[in-house]
Amino acid sequence: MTQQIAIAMIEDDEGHARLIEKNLRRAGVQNEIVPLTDGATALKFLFGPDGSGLVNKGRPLLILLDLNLPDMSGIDILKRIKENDHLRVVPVVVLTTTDDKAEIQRCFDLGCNVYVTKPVDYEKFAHAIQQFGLFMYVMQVPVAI
Amino acid sequence: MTEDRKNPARPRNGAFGGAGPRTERRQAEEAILKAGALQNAIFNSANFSSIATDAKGVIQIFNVGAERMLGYTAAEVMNKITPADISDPQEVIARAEALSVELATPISPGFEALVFKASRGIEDIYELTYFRKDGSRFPAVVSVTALRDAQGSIIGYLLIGTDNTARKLVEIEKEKVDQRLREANEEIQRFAHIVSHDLRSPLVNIMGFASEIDAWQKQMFQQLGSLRTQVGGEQNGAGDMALRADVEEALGFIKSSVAKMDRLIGALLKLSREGQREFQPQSIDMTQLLRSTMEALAFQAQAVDAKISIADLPSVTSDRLALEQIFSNLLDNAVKYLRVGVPGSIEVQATESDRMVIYEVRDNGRGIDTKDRERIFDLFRRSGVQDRPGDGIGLAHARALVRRLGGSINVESEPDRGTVFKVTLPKRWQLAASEVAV
Repeated sequence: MTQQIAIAMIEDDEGHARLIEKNLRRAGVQNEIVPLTDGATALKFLFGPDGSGLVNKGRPLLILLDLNLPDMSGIDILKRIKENDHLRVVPVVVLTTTDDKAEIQRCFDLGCNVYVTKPVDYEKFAHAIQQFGLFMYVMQVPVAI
Repeated sequence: MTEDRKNPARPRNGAFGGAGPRTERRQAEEAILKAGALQNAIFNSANFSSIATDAKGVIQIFNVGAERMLGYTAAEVMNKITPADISDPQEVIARAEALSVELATPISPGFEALVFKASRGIEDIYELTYFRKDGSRFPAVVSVTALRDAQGSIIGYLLIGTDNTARKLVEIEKEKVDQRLREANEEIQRFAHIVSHDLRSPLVNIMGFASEIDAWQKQMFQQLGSLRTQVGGEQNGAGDMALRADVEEALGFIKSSVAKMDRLIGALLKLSREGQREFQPQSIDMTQLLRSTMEALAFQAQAVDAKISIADLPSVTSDRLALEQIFSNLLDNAVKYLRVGVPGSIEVQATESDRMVIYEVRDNGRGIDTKDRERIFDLFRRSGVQDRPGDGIGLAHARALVRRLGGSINVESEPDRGTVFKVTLPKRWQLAASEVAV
């Protein structure tokens, strides 16, 4: 993954955001991380003021998405991304505390690319994020169309 | 049909509805009375509608109860109509269709549909809506008997009906209560589910940053040590070591508490998921089920010198997974809470009655104090010396499952002698109205 790729981190919990960032950096991920702390802010960033998603055209982007947001469900955001002509190719990594099988299934049905559960056990948490960071090195990310 | 109802006094035609000449009818009526099948007492009863017909269905006797319930006088219906004329025509049609299928023979939607089973000597009681003279309707339970002469030929039918309105109202009321219960139950499930997830989120932070602090404090004390050496002091002075021990102890408590909280939330989540799972009733060989449970525990049992014996157990129709969870929990507890130095003996046996089976899991373990015998079934509560791992979830879970299966669980125990858990289960579990997922 090249360094130009921005990571849109949709995460309402600042603590979680900090821990995720720390562990990505530890894995050597140098990319820009755009923190988006609620659903509305995230939608505005992703789809632009006109809501079309054109704002990100040509931009290599990767989305980290928490499902439990205060103002809307992450599932709805995922659905809108995958239904949008410009953003549907953008890889979405769901990163959430929920390990409910039905929820995981639903996310993949809607087109999520990776699903990672945040464990309370910090060693596992750090390991999961760092592994994901390493995975990002070898990943090819398309630009939004 | 509809016309007949509007004008019930009009005689019906056709095989069952036809009214013969006056003398024939009289003969039929006399025959019915002579047959001795009808008692005056019955016919004076105001609480039962007793309607006797001739073989073709034409009403011959219409008692006080029938007059009261249906609003007709006997004179208005006798020799004029059949009971089908005062029944809900849609229900008569539906009944004719259902019977045609059930008995594989065409049955016409009229009086025949009301008495066909009785005419074949099959006991017949059914629910039906009657129309009163004023057009209003009421649900009735009707019992039909064929009346036969000395030679066994059918000379008529007796239809005894009771007003089912009160019971119907109770049923409707019960359905409403069931519905409310169902909704409340779903609400609780959703609540537990959401709370479990939202409670977990802050724990990720507490655990995460406690672990980060732990890493930093190690670095800090190392740096402090090397600074002290640089100024000629002692690298690991007693004061620094004590301080570091305090910090590590505090972080240790934070981490172990978070880990416990995470386990408890996990248990809540599991319980809420279990509560949402739909039971699948199937016939279960309980001897087999208990044996597999025992085999899964063989290693633990051997480690504490415990013998488990399973008697021949009656089968039940119930949910397999739920029963596995219940009995594996009880056997696991029995193995876990034995007395040190006393070889364990765990027995599973059962007694059965008409509709229920009582399974007993008996051990010779440490027993449960009297004051704890209800408490042990509460979530997160445990009894006795806390020298075994556990979070106090198993029995709460078992009791919730047993209750959902329409049974109960009790404990009898003598401290230092042993414990008996008794699980009472219905032989046939059926999906109750309150259990049906919507």
